[in-house]
Amino acid sequence: MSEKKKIKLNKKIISDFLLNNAMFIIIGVVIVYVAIKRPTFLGTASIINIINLTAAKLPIALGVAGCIVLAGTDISAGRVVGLTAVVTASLLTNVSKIWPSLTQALPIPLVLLIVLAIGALIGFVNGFAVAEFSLHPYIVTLSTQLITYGLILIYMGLGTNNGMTLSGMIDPYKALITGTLFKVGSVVVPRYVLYAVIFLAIMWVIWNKTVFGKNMFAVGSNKTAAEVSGVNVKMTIIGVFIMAGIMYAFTGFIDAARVGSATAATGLNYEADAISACVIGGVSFVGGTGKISGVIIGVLLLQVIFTGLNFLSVNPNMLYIIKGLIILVACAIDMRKYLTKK
Amino acid sequence: MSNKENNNINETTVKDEAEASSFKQFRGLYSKVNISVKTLNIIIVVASLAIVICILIGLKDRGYFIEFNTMGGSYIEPQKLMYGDEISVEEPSREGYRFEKWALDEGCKITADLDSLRVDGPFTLYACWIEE
Amino acid sequence: MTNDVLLRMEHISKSFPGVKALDDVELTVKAGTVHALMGENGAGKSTLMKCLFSVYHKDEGHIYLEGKEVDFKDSKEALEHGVAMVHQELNQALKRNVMDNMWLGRYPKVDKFPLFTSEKKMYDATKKIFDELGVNVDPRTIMSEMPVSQRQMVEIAKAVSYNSKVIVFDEPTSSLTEVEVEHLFKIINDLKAKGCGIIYISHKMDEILRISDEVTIMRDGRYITTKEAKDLTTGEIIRLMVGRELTNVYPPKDNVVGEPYLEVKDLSAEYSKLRDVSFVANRGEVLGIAGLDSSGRTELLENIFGIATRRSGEIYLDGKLCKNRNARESIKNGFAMLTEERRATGIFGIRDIQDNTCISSLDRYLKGILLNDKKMEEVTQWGIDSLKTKTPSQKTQIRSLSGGNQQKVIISRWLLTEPDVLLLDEPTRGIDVGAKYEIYELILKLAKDNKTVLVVSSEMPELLGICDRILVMSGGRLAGEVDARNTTQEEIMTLAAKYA
Repeated sequence: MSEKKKIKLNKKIISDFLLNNAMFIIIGVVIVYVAIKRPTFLGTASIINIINLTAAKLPIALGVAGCIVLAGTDISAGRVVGLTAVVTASLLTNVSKIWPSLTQALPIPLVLLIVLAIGALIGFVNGFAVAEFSLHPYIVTLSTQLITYGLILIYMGLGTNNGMTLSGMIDPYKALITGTLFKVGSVVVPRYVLYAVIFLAIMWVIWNKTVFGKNMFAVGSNKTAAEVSGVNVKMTIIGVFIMAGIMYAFTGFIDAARVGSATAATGLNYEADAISACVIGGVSFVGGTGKISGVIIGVLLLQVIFTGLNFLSVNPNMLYIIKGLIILVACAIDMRKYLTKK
Repeated sequence: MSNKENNNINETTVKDEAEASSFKQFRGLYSKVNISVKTLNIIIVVASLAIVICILIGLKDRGYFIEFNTMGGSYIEPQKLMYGDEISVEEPSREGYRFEKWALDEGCKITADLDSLRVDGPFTLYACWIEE
Repeated sequence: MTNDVLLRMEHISKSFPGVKALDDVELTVKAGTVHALMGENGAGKSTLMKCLFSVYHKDEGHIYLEGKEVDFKDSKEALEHGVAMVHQELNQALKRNVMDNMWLGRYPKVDKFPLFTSEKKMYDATKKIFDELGVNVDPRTIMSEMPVSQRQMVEIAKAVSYNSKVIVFDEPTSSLTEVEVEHLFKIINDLKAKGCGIIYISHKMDEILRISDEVTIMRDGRYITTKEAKDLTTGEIIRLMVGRELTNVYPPKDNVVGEPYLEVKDLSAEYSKLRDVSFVANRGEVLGIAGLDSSGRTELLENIFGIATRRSGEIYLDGKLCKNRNARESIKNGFAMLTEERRATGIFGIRDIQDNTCISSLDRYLKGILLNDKKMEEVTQWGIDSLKTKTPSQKTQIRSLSGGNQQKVIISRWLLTEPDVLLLDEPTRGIDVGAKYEIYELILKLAKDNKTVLVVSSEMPELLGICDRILVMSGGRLAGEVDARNTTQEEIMTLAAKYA
């Protein structure tokens, strides 16, 4: 190869590298900047805080990731988290304003089953509409998102509650979720981090070691070819959405205790973060591809950026703009990877 | 008839085949997307710069607004505080009521302990009253 | 009587990566004549026309219109210079009405307000043309509400309305009734009288002999000859179209055809032309399926395999009824299907070789409820080795493999389901000669293993080389059955045109 060509090729390799990893470069820059301005950002308490927040946002991302692998999306995720959170909060309290006749909290396993059923049901509705009627997942989940929000508002107005914040959950439940897993120095790592790790492991097994998981990737990669190859496309789609709904329910169940309260606004826009995290982590919108490791990396990196900005007290109004730009960059990088050169 | 034209193609790599036909390799949510690599590169660079600029703008106007909803009492101005700051605020007054405490929710169920509470984002404190 | 030369294309060559689609082709059309262009699928007729219209840009050669050299930069410019085409696949805006379609791109403007289109002018102009041509359609009708035959008439009227000198008709009678065909011929004769040059592309021999003055025949991208229609017979034309040497080498045919195994009775499809197809296939047999494009070959396989909606008919395997309502059921019953377009419906492009190989047989690799990676690796390796697939590793993305190797991966996918009947739709399409031979070997091996293999192919030498019997499809029906060892390409072509 001539000298000129070599230089050109090297230039291309460098520019490709920079462009494909633009997201990580930005994150790196932010981390360095925050660390300089506020060294406590790299301290134990701060790192544990980041881990905790990542663990809280992981289950919902794991759920949405399946939908994205199917070359679809699920924008009802946040509201399902919200619904399950308020149901949990209202049933695991001794002073329920929503169910005034309930003078004692229901058994924790029962409440968990109830919210899992809610999540699975909404997931089933989503999956069925997409599988049976070939409706675009965006349209289906948009309407379930709005309907679920309506359900939340109605639910919050039941009994004597009148839409007020729910709190005052029973201690055993709070201990189950936020109780100490272990301590690093004086900083507590709560139990829900362990649960997040368990979900991570289970999802990994499902994605990589089950027929269902392989079918999911096949359907996402090429639906027609999957059909011809003997995959039960309809059941696979429904299954993925149900699985996602169950993950959202777990998220809501955990969130109510983690935050300490639940309102009608709980879960608002959670899916935006989850979907961004997935795209950053390599779960591409082209469908049929993605790794569990990518999902957690995406969640972690997003969390690092926003915790960093939080540390700097960046004007909260800018955050939405920044989030939007991040999705844009992530999608552009994603498209660049899978683009056919014309 | 036209797409059967290439019946007798002798084999070359897939890349050439893709260029010969206009078959879209894009699938999923991108199946109708028609955008060049150049445009994407521009988007990535511009949006990345925009992110950095937005962060810098956000830094100029730093701080979180803590609002005080006195639930019918005297007006208290919102405070602009930084991450990690303590909150110190005077007690509001209300005709016929005695001030009890600050809470994180309207229903006064989640007490806000100003000694241990630190700012980590924008929120509202609600005043709780006891009738006299 | 000599007519002036209207259009002359000479030394036209066009290549795509790996294939020479046109090799030094010529075409001369005289004014006031109908010039037929004939050739098999893949002979280059459409490519030549696309070069004329600058849909493709020719690599070499010259085009002269009325003596002057032209080089259109796109089809719009071709139209403006009086070269029009009535397409086989109608490019019409179905939601708009007839007038809009006629004047797309050249709407008559209102005199006083040049920015606005004049509906009255459009209507009048359209009506005028229709009356001249004797077309009985209301210009305000919405396209989608008209039957295909009328839409085709509109397409023809549109081409005529450009006052073109050269008009190309590409399979114009495929959707027309007999009455409409007569009407079309009348229009063509009128155009002839006006001095236009008509290029007529069709597979229908009797039409060609009726309407054309001269016939040009192409084969494999090359120009063969031009003769006057009155000097030709159907047999002659066929001989000129297919007469090629059997240059492909085929493996020795030493499979033994056994007893009847697959029986298909009165198979008709719901949404395609497939009607009342019945045949029997034997164990250990390679049964070919020949026919023109859209003669129903693919539809036949799809209906047997259950991925197209069946209207009526039964399928029996060894006397047992197989419902084959969907692909899953068919696989359970022992069927396998290799689809025609592997990139659209065969491969999972973004997934690797292992996933693409194991997808149809995943249940066999379960250890408890989880998949056994080692087993999947083993069977994938078996697939790679026995089919001699060239790939860097099992974890390579399938889309980076060449077409031939992709095809081999899909074939190994099906072999792992241990089928008894294999339905192969164009198994060697887009594959180099070396890999083709390997696939022929595989097909014969399957037959020797007592499987039943059905092969759809557009390459007649291929069918003659590897099949025992050949079914010929035409217009959605079974036109006939021939013994591959005793038949000729001409016999097959004649059958293929039976119901076309």
